[in-house]
Amino acid sequence: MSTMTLDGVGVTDPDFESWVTARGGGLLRFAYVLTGNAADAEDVVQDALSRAIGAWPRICAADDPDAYVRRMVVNAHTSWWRKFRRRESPVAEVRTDGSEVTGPPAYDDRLWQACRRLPEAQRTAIVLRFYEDMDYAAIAAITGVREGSVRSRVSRGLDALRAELGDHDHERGTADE
Amino acid sequence: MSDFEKRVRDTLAGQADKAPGDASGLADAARARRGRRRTAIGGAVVAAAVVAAIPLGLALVDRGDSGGRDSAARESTSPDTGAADPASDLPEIPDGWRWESWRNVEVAVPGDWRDGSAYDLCIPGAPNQPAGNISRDAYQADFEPDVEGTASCPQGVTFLAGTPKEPIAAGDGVAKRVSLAGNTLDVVAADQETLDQVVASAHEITETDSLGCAPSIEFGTAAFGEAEGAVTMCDYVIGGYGSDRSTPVLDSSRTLKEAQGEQLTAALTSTRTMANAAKVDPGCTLSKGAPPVLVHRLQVGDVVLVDIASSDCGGTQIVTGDGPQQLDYALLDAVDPATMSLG
Repeated sequence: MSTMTLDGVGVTDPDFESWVTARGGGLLRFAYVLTGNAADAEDVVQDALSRAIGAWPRICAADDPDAYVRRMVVNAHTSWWRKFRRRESPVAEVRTDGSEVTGPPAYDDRLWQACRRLPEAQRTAIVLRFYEDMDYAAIAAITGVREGSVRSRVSRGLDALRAELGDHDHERGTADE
Repeated sequence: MSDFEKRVRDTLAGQADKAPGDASGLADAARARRGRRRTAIGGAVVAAAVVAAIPLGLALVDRGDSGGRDSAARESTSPDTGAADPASDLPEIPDGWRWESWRNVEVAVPGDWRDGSAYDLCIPGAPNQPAGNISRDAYQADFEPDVEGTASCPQGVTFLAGTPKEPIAAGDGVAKRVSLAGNTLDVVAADQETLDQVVASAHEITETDSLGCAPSIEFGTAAFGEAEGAVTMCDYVIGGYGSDRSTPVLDSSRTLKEAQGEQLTAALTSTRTMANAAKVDPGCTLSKGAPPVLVHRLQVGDVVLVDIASSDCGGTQIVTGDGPQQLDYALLDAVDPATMSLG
């Protein structure tokens, strides 16, 4: 196994390189649904990985480095520092092809935009619950709040989505299942 | 799972396909970013070294701790400022223990209990897990050791505002809930002696904590100046813990390691006074509904070096003895907790 040094910090290659190659795509997908746009997705993944490099030997020693780095991505997304630097608010998807909107957006598009407008804590809980398919205990662990708080965030997030979509007639969620 | 929840799941999965597809450059990009961050900090340190007279005249003292924001960083050593030693009235605590403060209360904990959420410290399989953790209200941690498969520390202190509804969980250890000065301290220890010592040490902060940090401050208003000695970082939150929108309330305090202090010192030397400083309100009042703002106050003894807010809060974000300063990213990077813990 070759070893390189970066800025005085020993980084063992190809472990980090090969891990990023294998998992990077999945991390970007996760970050995209978490942040709501490609630029922020790349930003938080790069940020998390840039911090992971220095601690890579320790992270590798963990049973589940995937979970560890995924948690770093969540932290990067929810970091108050990032909130400070990212002052823009989520807006509807910018159309870059010059085309005009000819009709009401599809249900899934409206649902996605509603997701993007959720408060950050609720959106994070919704993404971890329904995209990552994590249970409440795991979400509580990854976000550092109590399980009851996670259940509340998921429930409130779903309620907010239903309200935005005028989906009042839909059956109430069974998020506890 | 309801139909609506399935729709949410499918929508998220479908949107994920729109994520940037090329992950081949991620590792290089991450390395470059890390390099930039380190270069920025290193550059600031070098710049400071060539300044003949360091404006703030800080002489930093290494406390010899090994972590970022944890453990021995709060071992008390009086800075050489002639200021009264805030630790002089504190009860004696066992060797190797340290003080942890939050809002208007302070408690002594074993040195191997670290500051941070259980997920940060005790994720299953994580290396170097501490014996316990110190969890603050904003990062309520599940350290019940009987919840297998979740992040948990076997011992710890959880600071909570008010009185929680949930019962305290002792797991395999012993536990006690302490009500003190409007707060709750949930203490879980492996043995009765440790529990008793932690509980007995808990006290209300009347003036300052063991490191000289007041339970609340007024942002941008202090006896700003220059001093030599160990640099203490007092962390405050505005708008958190049910407090009002203008009063920074104590979240934690620590003595900086030498390297951290050097970064901050160097960054402080490069700040520039705002052109319209005389017209700038140095205060910090959150608008209605705004999220909480963190405030760092760096001080040496009772001399305050700088107040830094994590976000714009109606006035300015950085105030020193020279008044409101221009926003300086080197300084902001230097107090970024993520950089300090892993950088």
